[in-house]
Amino acid sequence: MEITLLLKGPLKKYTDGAELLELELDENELTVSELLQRFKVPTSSVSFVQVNNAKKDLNQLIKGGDTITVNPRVAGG
Amino acid sequence: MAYIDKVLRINLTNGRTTSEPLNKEWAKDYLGGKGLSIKYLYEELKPGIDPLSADNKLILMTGPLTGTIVPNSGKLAIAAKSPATGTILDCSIGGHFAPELKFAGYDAVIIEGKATEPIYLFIEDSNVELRNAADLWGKGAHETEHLLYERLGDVITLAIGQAGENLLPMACISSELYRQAGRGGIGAVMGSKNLKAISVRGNGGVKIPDIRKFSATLNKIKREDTMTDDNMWAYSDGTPMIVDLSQSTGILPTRNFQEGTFDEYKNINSEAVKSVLKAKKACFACPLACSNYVKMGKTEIEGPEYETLALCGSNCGIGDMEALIEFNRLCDDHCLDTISAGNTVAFAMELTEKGIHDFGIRFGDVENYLQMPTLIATRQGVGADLALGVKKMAEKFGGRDFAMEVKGLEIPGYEPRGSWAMGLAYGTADRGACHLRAWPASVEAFGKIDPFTSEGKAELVIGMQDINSVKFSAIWCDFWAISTEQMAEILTLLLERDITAAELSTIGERINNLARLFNEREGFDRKDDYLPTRVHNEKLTTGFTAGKSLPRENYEKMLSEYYQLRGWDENGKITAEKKKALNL
Repeated sequence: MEITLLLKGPLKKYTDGAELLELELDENELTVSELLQRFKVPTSSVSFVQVNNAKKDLNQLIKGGDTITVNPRVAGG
Repeated sequence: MAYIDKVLRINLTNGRTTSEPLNKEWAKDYLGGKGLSIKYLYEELKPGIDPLSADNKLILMTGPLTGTIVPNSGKLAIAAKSPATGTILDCSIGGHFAPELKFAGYDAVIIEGKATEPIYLFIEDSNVELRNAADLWGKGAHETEHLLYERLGDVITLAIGQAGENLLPMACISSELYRQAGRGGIGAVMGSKNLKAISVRGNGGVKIPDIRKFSATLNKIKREDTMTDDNMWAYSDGTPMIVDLSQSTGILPTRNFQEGTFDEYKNINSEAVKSVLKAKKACFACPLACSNYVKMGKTEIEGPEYETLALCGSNCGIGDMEALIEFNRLCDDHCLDTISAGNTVAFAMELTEKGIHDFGIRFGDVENYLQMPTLIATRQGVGADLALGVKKMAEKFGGRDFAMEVKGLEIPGYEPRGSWAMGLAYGTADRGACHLRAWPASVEAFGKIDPFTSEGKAELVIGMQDINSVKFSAIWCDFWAISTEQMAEILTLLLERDITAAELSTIGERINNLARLFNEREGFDRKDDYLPTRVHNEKLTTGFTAGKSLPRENYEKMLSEYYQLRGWDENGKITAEKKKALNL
């Protein structure tokens, strides 16, 4: 399946600086958490994820055509 | 030692300057910065004084970390009784003033009384001069800083603009053009004393015990903790990154908090700021360099920060980045707090659109929007009414249900209907609606904690308020998510006595209780820990927060639990037992 992965802010370092990746995966189904493991993004560095702009948890199943946005943790204000 | 052990006291009424030892007993209990300045004000101000009279005092306070190489330690606390709220008020300002003051040989400056004519202060080590500022009065902060730099050479300056001179409750103090001690009318306190600016040059330094061990420890912590994913968002994007987070979680204040999403958010988000970015800038001793120096059209500024993008952007229905940057520049030059200014303009827009009073400005009206900062700061035309701030405008014109303020301080850029703990943080913050005393949106709306429940929120807010009070007293910038244990490790090395995380937690608790005690003495209690009626009675209709409000009963439940956990009574007053336990 084809998906779009968007890594925000400092998380881009896990994709060598690329913020947006168009990916073609062998699987037809996997979770957000499994996708993040593939790029070695520690979940402790993630504040929350969105699938197609909707806030979801890390167990959310991804389907073909989805856009996954991964937001970093933030402190201060 | 981390302290210089010297306080400079300046009486503007009689022109006398004296120095005295820092009260070390108090420094042990309150560290410095926020906590220690509140202690001095609590002991030295009579209850009920007019904040804009000669009776108020303005305190510039450094902390034990100031002037050292500890990461993110470049900030200065500035405190007084607030003219906007009547509460205690402490602000923090970045840049380089705080270390320069310490290099000049002072932990703090206490400014008392009122000058008979406009003056500025020039401090160079033991030389302290009150100089005539007649030629500076009426000028913006930017020109004032430039003129003082030309006149005095290499100095760091705190200055006020027209808003401070005209005693606005939203007047801030500026430094290095684009940094502000922003909230609660701290600039009006300076203006009320006829004090236009304070310039400092220091030729000394600070002494560090066992510098080898200190440097090795800091290098390790910096490498393993400061420069990590938790904090690097500040460098990669800075606060504009929060626009996308707020939009996607439905807490981006839009059109005077009528909605939590903004259709034009992509025009004001981090990518939009990056498209006009020219350089990154940092405060003293900061490896994170969160500040974005931008240029668009003819305007160059440091910023705009998230709060400005939200309150002066989406909250005013403005999706035009060039207009927003110019509005930001005007606010900085006149020294208007952009959180309060953005809220006030948005409130005037809604009053106009609802037909309650015609201020001649509507949401998204760029042309009139750009007139507002100058009109407000100089109290001209409709600006004379907007200069009152949201609370007093509502008392004069109506619209009380959608006046977005707490204790007279306008609300920052996080919609409490989509982050219930944020509502509790606004209601209980010592200086009125503030996101810096606690920022639970970061773990609630932007994290894994359910934002739509009152369960566990009191404990969450108390923990954040106490740890932030320690940070703002030591002084650390809140953009480093440092743990209490790491704070204790660094302070133990610096202060040469064993400091534990538990002791720091007690210090944080003591500071928040003393701030509450100051406010209690001024007549504040539960009735003042309210949220705007809109938050309780109106449901949002778009995005992730569609259908959500923060019902009054849920808020009151959180508030009661908060008081209980704080050891306060049901009316929010500190009990005798708590005062005794904290040595208040």
